[in-house]
Amino acid sequence: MNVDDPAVLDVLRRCMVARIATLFHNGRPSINPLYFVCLNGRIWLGTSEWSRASRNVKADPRVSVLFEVEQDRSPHRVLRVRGRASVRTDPKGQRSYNLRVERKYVLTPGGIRHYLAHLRQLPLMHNYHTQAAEKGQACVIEVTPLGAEFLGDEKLG
Amino acid sequence: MVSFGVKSVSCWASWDVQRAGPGRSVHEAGHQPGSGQEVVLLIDEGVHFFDLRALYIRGQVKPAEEPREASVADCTWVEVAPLKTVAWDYGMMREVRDER
Repeated sequence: MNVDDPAVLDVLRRCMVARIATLFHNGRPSINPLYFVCLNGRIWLGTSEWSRASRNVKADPRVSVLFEVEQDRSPHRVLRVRGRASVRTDPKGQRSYNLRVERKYVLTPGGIRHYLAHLRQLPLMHNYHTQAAEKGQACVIEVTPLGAEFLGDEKLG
Repeated sequence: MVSFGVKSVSCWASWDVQRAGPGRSVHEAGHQPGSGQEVVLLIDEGVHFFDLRALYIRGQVKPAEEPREASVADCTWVEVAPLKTVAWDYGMMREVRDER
């Protein structure tokens, strides 16, 4: 299935958290939940250079990414995209990613409600991000899709 | 979600406290990791920052019978013998004094 199929695009539009499966240099598996946005037919996932996902992608670009729309009860709710990934650290790409992430996760009714409800904890989030930045710069894992398929999960949920 | 090699699938997970050691059984849809294969099982939830939490279990697959509490018919179950477990919950973050 092609990634520009309307059913695929619909799941990518509605899904909020992607789970990216990567490989260590010795072939061991890893999987991480990450925020993501879609741009020009690519999938951008935000993380840090020191994260396991980005280090694995540098070692082996083969990835698969799962997208699940939990509220959906249709057979088309779990999507797997197979692709090749690279790690982007360019400031322009990072700014573009950050803008899109803010629009998708923060500047929405649900996002605003969430952060207003956690105003007292926002300094903790800031400190968390500051400490993460000290370990390594933020980056974007850019996935070029090679194929997509819906998983036969009619028994799930 | 369970990952084996670069494949990943969604699954049912069942925590079995009756076993001598911790065990987890997973149903995975359509594809199945082989016995002895190393897998990673990720159970996560949340969308916004302080709701994000997850359980990440790396382990080896063993054949398993259907758990007693399973309510899903016609599934293949495997047991994941944990080698490493990591959990996080951003809503539980607290400030701690740096003692370095």
